[in-house]
Amino acid sequence: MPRSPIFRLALASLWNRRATALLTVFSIAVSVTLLLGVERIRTEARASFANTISGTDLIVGARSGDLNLLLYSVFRIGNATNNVTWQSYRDLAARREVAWTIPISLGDSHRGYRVMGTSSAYLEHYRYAGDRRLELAEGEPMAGVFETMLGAEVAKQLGYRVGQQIVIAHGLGTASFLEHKDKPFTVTGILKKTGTPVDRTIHVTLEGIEAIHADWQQGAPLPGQRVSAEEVQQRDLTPTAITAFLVGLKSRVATFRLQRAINEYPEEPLSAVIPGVALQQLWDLVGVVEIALLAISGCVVLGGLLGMLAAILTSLNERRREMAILRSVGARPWQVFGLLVSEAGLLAAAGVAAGFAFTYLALLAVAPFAEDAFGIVVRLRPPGTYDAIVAGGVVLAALLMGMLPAWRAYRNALADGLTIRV
Amino acid sequence: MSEPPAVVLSGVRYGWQPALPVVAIDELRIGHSERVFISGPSGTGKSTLLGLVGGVLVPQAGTVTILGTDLGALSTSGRDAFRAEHVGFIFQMFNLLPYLSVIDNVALPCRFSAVRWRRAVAGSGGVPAEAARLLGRLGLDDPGLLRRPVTQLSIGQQQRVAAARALIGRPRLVIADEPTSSLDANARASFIDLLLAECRDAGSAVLFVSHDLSLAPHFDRRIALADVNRAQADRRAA
Ligand SMILES: Nc1ncnc2c1ncn2[C@@H]1O[C@H](COP(=O)(O)OP(=O)(O)OP(=O)(O)O)[C@@H](O)[C@H]1O
Ligand SMILES: [Mg+2]
Repeated sequence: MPRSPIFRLALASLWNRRATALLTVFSIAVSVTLLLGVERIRTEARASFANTISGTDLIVGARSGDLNLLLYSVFRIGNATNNVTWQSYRDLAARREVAWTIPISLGDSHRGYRVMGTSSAYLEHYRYAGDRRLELAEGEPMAGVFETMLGAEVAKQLGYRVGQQIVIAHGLGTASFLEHKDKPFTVTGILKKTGTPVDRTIHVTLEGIEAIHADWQQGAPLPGQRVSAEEVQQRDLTPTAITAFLVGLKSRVATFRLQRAINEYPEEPLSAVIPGVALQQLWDLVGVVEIALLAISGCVVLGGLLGMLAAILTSLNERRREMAILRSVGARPWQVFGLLVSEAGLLAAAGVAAGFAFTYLALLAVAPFAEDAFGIVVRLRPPGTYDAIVAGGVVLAALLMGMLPAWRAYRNALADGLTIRV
Repeated sequence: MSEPPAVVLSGVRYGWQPALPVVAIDELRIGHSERVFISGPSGTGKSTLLGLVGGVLVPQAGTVTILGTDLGALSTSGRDAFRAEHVGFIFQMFNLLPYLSVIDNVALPCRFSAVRWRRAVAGSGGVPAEAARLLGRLGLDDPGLLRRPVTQLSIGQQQRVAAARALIGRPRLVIADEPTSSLDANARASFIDLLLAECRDAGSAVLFVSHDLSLAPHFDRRIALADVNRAQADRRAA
């Protein structure tokens, strides 16, 4: 028995016009890549952000927008406008409903990575990605004034090992001119990779932060008042202020009450935010952009498909002879119809397949950059439901569009009969 | 049991515009495996007649009976299926598909008709083998030639490929519409001899249209279309 000839003929005919066919496939592939890629980045960004902090009930900092507070305290994006005094921190941390607090002191950096002063509570209480806690890959937690604990990414990128000494720069940015050269820190431990901004953080003790600024005032060294590393350790290094602190409560029920109390704290203007709520604000903010991006991608896909339609329609006239030949050897009009529909389907399927390949290649290429610049960990997951819907949708749309030239070819085939007018 | 005649037209009227008949034939009969030469000046409706016989065109009046089957009783797709199975076409233009190999071009009708597929397989054991055999009969047996794209063949070679395609699977009726007009006189005569020899072996009837009267002696019968087609006369009378 003859096998179904239409599909094979469609393939052979496309191969014969492979230059144009390839262009069509490419334009569909690019549009599909965009649609898949935008969604990938979107979900990866969300998952990555949502996984960065868990178990923390409130984030407290100087009065500012909720989002800003969340971004600088947890994601190391942006800066604090003001500090929280040590007294206020101690006062609030001592409240009955508070189970634990993690103080955070920011403002310095080392070769582009932010330095964060904190306490031993950090290792003990910080949680991410559900209920995972920070663990050391090697070495020990920092303890002394001039000891530091590095995030996995910092150690890897800069090639640092336990025992090494590093110098912290004042302020942020890679090219900081003012360095705390006289007070180097010794690496005592390196944290395991977490896929969160912790990986890109250099951790020191609050006392360490205090010590390097002992002979500084208002962002500059005090002239003629050098205090050596040995001398400074004799001083009282209790900080006067911190940037923010994370709060864990004994019972979640107390969250809103404590939040209100902090927001109305009489001693100084403070803000307390619930991480989930602030994240939701972030999603609301970027949601519009996401929808716009998806809409644009959708239009690009439509454009790709319309390009295909135009290519097939223009080819119809020069292929009238081909259709008539097929009918003369016994192809039914519906088979001529099927030939063109399957041609559209083949082009779209090839475009989708190439689009998937492009997407994964692009993700591979973008992943290191996304992690470096935004702390977004892009995992290479196998295609999911969304991808299947995109693939199916594009092919289906192509098949539907293919019906237009197919219908015209069908009409031509009936009208031309076997005499071919070219 | 006697085989039905290949073609019977009775009372057939056809006009591209129904008011202007191009074909008006009261009676035309072509016997089983009869080889007929049809001649007539340009524009007198030869190709139109072949369209009616092939079931591509449907007459406005009268019946077209091919191999005992009244085409008017079949649906459009029924006629298509019937044509695929029983009719082989050769055109003035060679009409090969540029994207198929020589063998695949010849084998094409077998992909659309199970009957012709089976006959081809019964003939040579396989469709490609039967295609190669037919090409060999028509003088195309150089294996290097068969591997070339059809677009690189000479005009005479392409015409023979098209003939092999019309002949594969032994259709009962072979319709040829000026298939030799692009060949020189020598090539023309040998092409017709080969075509007719193959049709004789297959027992196929042949309907061959040309205005080149020198070809007529190769055939069993010659019909001048003007003798059977009253359309022109009717029009003049009107
Ligand atoms: N598709 C068509 N639509 C409208 N009129 C047509 C069509 N095909 C043919 N005709 C007309 O029908 C008449 C007969 O045409 P036909 O092609 O049958 O002539 P022919 O005898 O085959 O001529 P030739 O020897 O030049 O091929 C002509 O007047 C032609 O203009
Ligand atoms: Mg003609």
